Amino acid sequence: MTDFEALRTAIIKGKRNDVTAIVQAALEEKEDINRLLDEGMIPAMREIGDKFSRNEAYVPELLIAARAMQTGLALLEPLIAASGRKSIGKIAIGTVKGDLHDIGKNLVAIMLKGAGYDVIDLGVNCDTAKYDSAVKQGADIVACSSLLTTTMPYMREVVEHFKGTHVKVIIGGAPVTQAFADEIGADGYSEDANGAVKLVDSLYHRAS
Amino acid sequence: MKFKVISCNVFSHELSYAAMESPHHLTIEFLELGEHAHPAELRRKLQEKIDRSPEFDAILLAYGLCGSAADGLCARSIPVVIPRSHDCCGILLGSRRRFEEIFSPMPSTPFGSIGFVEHGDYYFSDGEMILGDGWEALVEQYGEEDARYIYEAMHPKLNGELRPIFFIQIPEIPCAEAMERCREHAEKEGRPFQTLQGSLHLIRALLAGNWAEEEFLMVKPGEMIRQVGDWDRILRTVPTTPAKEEKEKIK
Repeated sequence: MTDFEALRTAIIKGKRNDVTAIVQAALEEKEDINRLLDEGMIPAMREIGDKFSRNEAYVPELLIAARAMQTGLALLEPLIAASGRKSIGKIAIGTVKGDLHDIGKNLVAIMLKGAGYDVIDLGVNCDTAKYDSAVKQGADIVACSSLLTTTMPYMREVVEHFKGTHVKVIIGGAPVTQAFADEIGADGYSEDANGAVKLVDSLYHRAS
Repeated sequence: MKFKVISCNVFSHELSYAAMESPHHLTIEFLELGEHAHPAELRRKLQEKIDRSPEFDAILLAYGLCGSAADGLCARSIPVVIPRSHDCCGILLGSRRRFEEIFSPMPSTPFGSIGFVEHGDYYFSDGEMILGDGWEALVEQYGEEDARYIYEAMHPKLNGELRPIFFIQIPEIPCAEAMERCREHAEKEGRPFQTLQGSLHLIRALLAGNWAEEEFLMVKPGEMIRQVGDWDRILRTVPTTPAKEEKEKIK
């Protein structure tokens, strides 16, 4: 029997060795991968993300929780395809040109992976050519992050770049606002990682 | 004229110096450094202070856009004046043109000043929360392995190299000790240390009432600040409508 509470706690506390042990034991017992994700790992990341949004958790806690989640996901990934949990879309994600801050971007990438999306993580300092490269690999949503108001103007360039194509551009990051997203004509904005999954779901017409 | 000045305490030295030269009656209130990491919260605090200061001729904000915190601020019965700057770096340099010239090739480049060293650990913690001296505190709390991971994540590199830190020194403000502390810290981190000459120009002009349209945004009663999303104008005004303001409150 998988102890889902222990799995959630291990992720929230950032105990990646505990996550490995619990997930490996669960897999040996043929635990349902969807349950591991939906009842253990994803709610745990949601909880730490919510705490961070409410200023109840700090960046270091968020970082180690995300790493623990990533450790668990890496164990599941080879099995996910075989489990019938199909990829529901391919998303390119990257911090925009001039910006090297990727903590929030990494969190969104993990949440999207956990929700069943194929995520092409382009890293930081991404120009339109980098986003293009992911679109060539089949991404139909481009997610841009920025931590600085000085790099937000580049989001406008990305939106302009993909205007008139099938690619949807969504934006986020601490200084980014819905008003800014509306102004530059982005296809969506989210103020946190949980909201980003809901936003992507809505763009793929899935109920969250 | 009677002005209310609301300032980040990163400018405490610069503001005190420029206030002595201002012909106006100034009431200065400082907020803590580092609030820009939570822009919605800083916006709420600034708006509250604006709302509670009706008895002045104008409210002067010694802030830039600061992580979008200024985006959505409303002037009530008196005007609000704010420098057109992305953040304190542009204000300390004295012009956003100079800021653009130095920082636009790689905006993710840290900077410091006497105010940063005295009032917070800004660049040590990359605008986030670690107080005290980063590394030791992290090891104590998370153990060495996790601390290493956290530290690396909070000190982003470009092509494997930490960006240099630019310490801004303003000739009128003695800052040798703070500069030395910043240099020592940069050395400890393995980060190149450079200095830039700053200028009191914008702070002086703000307190003196010399609000050239090119350098300052004047927000009239019934108007709201909006960010432009550029390096040129940075800030603009839009009429405040109840619906817009409600949206800002919800955020």
